[in-house]
Amino acid sequence: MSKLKGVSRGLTSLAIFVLIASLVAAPIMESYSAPLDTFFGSTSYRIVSEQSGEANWIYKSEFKTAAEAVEALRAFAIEEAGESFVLLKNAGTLPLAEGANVTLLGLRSYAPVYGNSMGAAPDTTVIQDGNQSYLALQKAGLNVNPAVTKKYKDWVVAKGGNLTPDGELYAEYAGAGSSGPSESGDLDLTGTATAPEAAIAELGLSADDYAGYTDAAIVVFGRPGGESKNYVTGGTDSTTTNIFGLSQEEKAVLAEAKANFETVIVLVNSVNPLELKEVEEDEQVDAVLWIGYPGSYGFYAVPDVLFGKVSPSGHLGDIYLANSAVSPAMVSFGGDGSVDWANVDEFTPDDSVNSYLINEESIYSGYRYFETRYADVVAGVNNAAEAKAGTYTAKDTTVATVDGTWEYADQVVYPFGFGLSYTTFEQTLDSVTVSEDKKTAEVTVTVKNTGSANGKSVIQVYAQTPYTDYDKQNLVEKAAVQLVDYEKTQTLAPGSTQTVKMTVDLRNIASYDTNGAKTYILDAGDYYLAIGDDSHVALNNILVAQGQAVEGDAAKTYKWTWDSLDTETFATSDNGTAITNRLSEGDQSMDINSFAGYEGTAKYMTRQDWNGTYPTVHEGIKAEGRIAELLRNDFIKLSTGSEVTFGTDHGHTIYEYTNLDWDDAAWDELVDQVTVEDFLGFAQSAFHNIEKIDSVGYPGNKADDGPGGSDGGTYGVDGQYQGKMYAEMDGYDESVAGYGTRIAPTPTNLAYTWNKELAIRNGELILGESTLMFNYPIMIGPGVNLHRHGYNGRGAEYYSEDPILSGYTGSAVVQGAQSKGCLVNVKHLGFNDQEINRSGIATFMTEQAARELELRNFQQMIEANGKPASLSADSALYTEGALGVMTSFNRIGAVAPSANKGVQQDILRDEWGFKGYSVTDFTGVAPKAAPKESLLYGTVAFCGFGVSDPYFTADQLSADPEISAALKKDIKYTLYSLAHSAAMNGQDTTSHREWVDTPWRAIYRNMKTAGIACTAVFGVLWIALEVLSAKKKKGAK
Amino acid sequence: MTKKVNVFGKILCIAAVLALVGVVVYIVNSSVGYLAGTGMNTLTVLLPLIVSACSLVLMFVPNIINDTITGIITFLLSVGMGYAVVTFVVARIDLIADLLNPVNHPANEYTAFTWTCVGLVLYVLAFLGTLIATMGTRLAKKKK
Repeated sequence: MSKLKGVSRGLTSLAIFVLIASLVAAPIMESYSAPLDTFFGSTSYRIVSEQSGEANWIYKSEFKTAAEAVEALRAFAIEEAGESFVLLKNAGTLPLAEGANVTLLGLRSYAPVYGNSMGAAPDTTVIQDGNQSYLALQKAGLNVNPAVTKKYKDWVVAKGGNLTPDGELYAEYAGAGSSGPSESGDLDLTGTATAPEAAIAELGLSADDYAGYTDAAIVVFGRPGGESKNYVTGGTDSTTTNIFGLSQEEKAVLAEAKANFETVIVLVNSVNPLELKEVEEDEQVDAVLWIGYPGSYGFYAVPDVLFGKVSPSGHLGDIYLANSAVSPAMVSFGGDGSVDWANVDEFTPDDSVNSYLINEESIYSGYRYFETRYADVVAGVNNAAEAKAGTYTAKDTTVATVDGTWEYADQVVYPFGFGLSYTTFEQTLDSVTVSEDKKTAEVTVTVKNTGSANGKSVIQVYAQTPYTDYDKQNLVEKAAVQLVDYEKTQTLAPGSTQTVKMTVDLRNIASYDTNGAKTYILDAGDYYLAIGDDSHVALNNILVAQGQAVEGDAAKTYKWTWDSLDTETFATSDNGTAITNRLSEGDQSMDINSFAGYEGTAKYMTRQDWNGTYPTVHEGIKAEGRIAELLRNDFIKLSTGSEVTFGTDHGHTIYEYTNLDWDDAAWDELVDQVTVEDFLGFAQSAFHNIEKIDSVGYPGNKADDGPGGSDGGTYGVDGQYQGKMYAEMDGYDESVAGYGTRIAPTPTNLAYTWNKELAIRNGELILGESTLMFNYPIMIGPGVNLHRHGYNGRGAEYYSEDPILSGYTGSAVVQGAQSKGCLVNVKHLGFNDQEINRSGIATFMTEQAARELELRNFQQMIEANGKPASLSADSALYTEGALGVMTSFNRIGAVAPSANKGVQQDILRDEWGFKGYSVTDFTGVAPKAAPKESLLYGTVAFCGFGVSDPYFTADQLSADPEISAALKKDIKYTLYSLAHSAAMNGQDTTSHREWVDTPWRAIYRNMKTAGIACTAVFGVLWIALEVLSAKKKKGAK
Repeated sequence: MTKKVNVFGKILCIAAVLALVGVVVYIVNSSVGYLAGTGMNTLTVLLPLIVSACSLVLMFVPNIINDTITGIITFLLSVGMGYAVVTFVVARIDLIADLLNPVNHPANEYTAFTWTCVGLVLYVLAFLGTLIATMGTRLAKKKK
């Protein structure tokens, strides 16, 4: 009996432990419901409306069934992929004859990079459902050598790669963050330190294996990328020692192809620019086709392009260098991406301080540097031809080790905007009319297909502005050529023409003058607009027009002259706000030189002396004085005495405001109703969630991560049409239950289409329909940070190095998405140049660089700029800009990004007139987000978990006069953006949350039940045994 | 009559030591490095200390209290240690959630997480020790 007593006592204790754990776990798990839902693929609640009718569905999905959606998205993904591919080289080999029998070589021919990790990861369920690359190629008509592909399969399996039940390769690695298909560690298909490749000898390949499939060798080289990916320079066995050069193993594969095949085609399965000079110059390589990351279905488009059913019409949105590590922007990137503050150990974890990044290159990143220096070399000015050792690429693609001559051809392999076609086009600059107010230019271009194949042509319009003595005195920098607009033609048959009339926004040729006029200026002098097949061609056209001895066509340029310096035309924004220095002084400054004690720290590059001002690394800087105070994220002291009131009930609900204009006075009463507690509750619960606001009758919604489509939504669990679940409809196809919307090529591919209309459609389907089909009113995307250089591991999630190509692509996506009610979160505002140390790094640059590059890029989306020429004047699109942004992790200057008044308040909200939702990127309400400062400057929500900031209480914040006034504005931003989105879809005043049982709720619920039952059973047993034992002892006495 | 600690008593002794070491790890973990200044949960500290103290006291006074009282005390000790485990996990939820965020994390955050795991394992082992001790009829053998 005594043993039984002990056991029952122990089990009672264990049961109580389980009970306590379940009681504690329940609220914690509920607070983490969004990530748990994502992990378990569940839905923890639904919004139920008792009176919901047709009229409540403000936004309607195109797809009434899952099958319709799957087919439409599949077709679009293939179309987008085909249009994004860039033909980099073609010695007449392409297109291939239909029926060609080919051999795929290279590890990436079997295990390609379908998409980037995380934010725009491809849908692996779709891929593994028989859409693996090698299967897709065959299904699309390419006769692929099965023996060689099998040898790659065997090699991957031998390395630990796993196969699906169908015997094909699992594609989990395609969007994985860190590990490949191998658990053995022998093969990591997602790593960024090395480029895995199967050696020919290991594969056991010989000429016999190629028999019957010798029409062409298609060699695939790839590099993965995505969120949290880091690339660094050096350390590999390529010619340049860079990871983007071909490794010795990859060269061996190419040699094998050249030795055994008459025709060799290289597919570039990378978004970070590879170093392709040796491939370009290799006469035995017949063709090179950039395919980027084509997505879950994109390999179906490859045969279409190879066979000429689709003529390539993509163009590069980034410059391709002979040595990717040699550019001014790469100097501060350095070996590990940034430089630690010398006194970093003096800061606490809450400070989130690690390193700094000084963009000394000013505006000269990407093609702006290489083309401008080229122009000055041609002109023989500005110390352009001389180059110090270590600052230029030698003829053998290595970094030059001696002083020498800067030759464009040694630096650049493919210029920005480059792309070939199977046909030829003649573009004629018909006319240019610059408006009298200097704000726009009407540009008319006629395109004629002069070749023998159907095809689309991209019209690229570039500008050159004068570089004057005034600029030199005031350190205003000027690029010799910059993209100002673009359009893509329809498919043109041989001999046919299309005339396109474009309205170029001349704000984008204005230069920001930080030191003189302290606003945007237009210099006195000669201006040029030019068309060209790429940036280098356009520049050469301008140079010819200027009388320089280079090859070009002056007829493709237009010149006009403004006689005097203009400091007024662009000194105010569209809404009348004065534009002046916001990032050059004070706490919000991005110029490290502006802080006391740091004068002269950065020596920004200037065109006046290319060789003399080439950037250098600045190590050993200590964070002191005001910079140190700002880095500690607590730089505004709270006060008391506010008379602002909250929570006055006027009897309204948010549903009365769905069509109300921003300026309508009726908003005041709705805003008045919201209590501070309600708003802070909303603000602190923004991880994949839109928290309820009881005081206006809003029950909340879920949100999801973009930008490549829904992260968690699937047709089987979330798919619905106006509240009716797909899975409950007649004829529902179970086989697509696990499919989602992340099926399109990666965002960089979209930008490389140079097709605004296609980008609108991408926004409609990939973000917009994710909102409607899965009921996620907020989709966190698109991602739009500029490619400052090729080494940002996350570059694939973003569009381009150029603010106009990126800004207009993003703007089109935003317009498409918002047409479906999607509340976009354009991210990351701003300056996410790299993933290394991205949480905490302090990013410094000149205000001119900030405004003319990254901010100009964002401005296009916020202001709904870049309307395609094909859209009519009365189109409903491009009438309202993006209604949501997500801030970055990196600091802007020394300040947390969401707390930088210059960017978030002065420029975003005041200059650009942004009226929407601004959320931090996974900070939670932690000190590192500088929450009170962020609220003061327009942030309305904090993505992440938990509240650890001591100031984030209703009492403290509402007592401060400035912050309480800011909270009123923040509440209006929040309500306005929600009321103008699908957050209102299908809802009315009766809408409320209805809990849905989930696997994770079952865990804590069952634990609680078991705990109670076991406590009762074992507890009673123990007590009974104790009583019996006592009686027995008593009886014995 | 002399006493000799039996297997349950030995396990309780080990549990007491593990709890003591665990609480030291928790305190250090909360006081230096990444989690410095983040504060400590009172119960996470006090409960293991109480469990350790009571366990050691029980070893030296087996003949003062009877088996029923001993059983109740060890039961309470195991419940207390179990509750300490729960408070430990709750105290580190934010750290765990932060590490799930795929951004760069300072090295000392991973160090803090490692020591959190060490501390938690010690707490869990101590809890299991008290749990097993609870199942014993007594903690020491009676020897003539």
